[in-house]
Amino acid sequence: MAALALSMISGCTSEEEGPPKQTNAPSTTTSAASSRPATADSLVSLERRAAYEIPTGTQEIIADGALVFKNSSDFPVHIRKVKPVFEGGGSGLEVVGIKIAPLRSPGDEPTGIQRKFPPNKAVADRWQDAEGATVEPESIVMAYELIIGFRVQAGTHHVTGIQIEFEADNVAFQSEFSHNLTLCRMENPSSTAC
Amino acid sequence: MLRRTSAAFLTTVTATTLASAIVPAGPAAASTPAPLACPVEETYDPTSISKGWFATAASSAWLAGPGSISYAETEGASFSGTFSVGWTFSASAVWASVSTEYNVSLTASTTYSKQWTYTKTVPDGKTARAVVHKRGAKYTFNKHRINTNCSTSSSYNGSGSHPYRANSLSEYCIALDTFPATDFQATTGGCTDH
Repeated sequence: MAALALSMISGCTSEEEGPPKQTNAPSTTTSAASSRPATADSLVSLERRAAYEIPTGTQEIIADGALVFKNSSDFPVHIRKVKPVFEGGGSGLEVVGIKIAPLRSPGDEPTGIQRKFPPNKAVADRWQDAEGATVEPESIVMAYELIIGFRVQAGTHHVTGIQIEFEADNVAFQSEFSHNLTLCRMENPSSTAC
Repeated sequence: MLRRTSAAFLTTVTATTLASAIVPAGPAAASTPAPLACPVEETYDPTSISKGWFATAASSAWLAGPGSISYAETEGASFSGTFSVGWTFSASAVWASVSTEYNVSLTASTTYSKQWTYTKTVPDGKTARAVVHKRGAKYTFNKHRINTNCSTSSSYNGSGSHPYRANSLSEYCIALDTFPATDFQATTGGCTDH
């Protein structure tokens, strides 16, 4: 299930790395070694890399919740910016909102791709704006779903990735998750492809 | 009632007689009957089976139609079986009894990795996902035990859900699963979009 689709675009550290320091306190050393540091790979996609194609009606807003991810580090991650990546620029496609919602147990069914934004009240009750949100380590919250609201104004659009800028342990990172969503205006009510 | 009492009496007499034959004669041996000694034996009795297809973890996100889901990635489709039993049991012995009774060979888990390629269309009004399925069976069983004191006891209502040991490509299929999720599809329906 875990189709890893993460690639680091850039990352920086606030301190210069130095040689490992010797210590006579084994317990301290063990503790530091066992923690998982924050890196550009800390956000791990759990999404299976399928491609989705959705014709949309007039004024219809698609809730794209296909991206499910977790924080594999031991540090809380603070999301600064989320940006869908479009093939061809995305002119004629409006991003209505970008939200994040926790999935706390295996029984929490991910939203997937729905035709309402928010997809339902249960999701709306627990979601928040993605930008500014804190993603807890997986030891605290199992996973999160990122839900992007798209409205097609004209044309056909291909979302090829989702960039997330985040900060963890006072270090800034940027990652890109691969994504494969095609949206277009529906030509007739029974269209299942663009 | 009278017959039961007589039978118990006869059993006791027989056991005492056997014990007398192997224990050295003496005051203690003569006054204390030796305990009954039967080898413990457990047998399993499969009571029902439903053959079919289990949904693996290899699935797309849910998509509210109309739209389509396509996939062309290499991924492992894994399925791990489960038991639901309130008493101690031997998994291998249970599977052996199911094999004898129903001519199927079960195992704890299977995985198969390949490039799964498909396109599934989701019609208007339906929410569905594409899922890789593995052939297997759901079954129920009881346990019968001969105890060391030669009494017998039975335990009922054990159940299991496990994949077939056979793990070739023909043991897998891809089907559309309409919301809410169906984790098992009986063979009578085949591995079909449902």
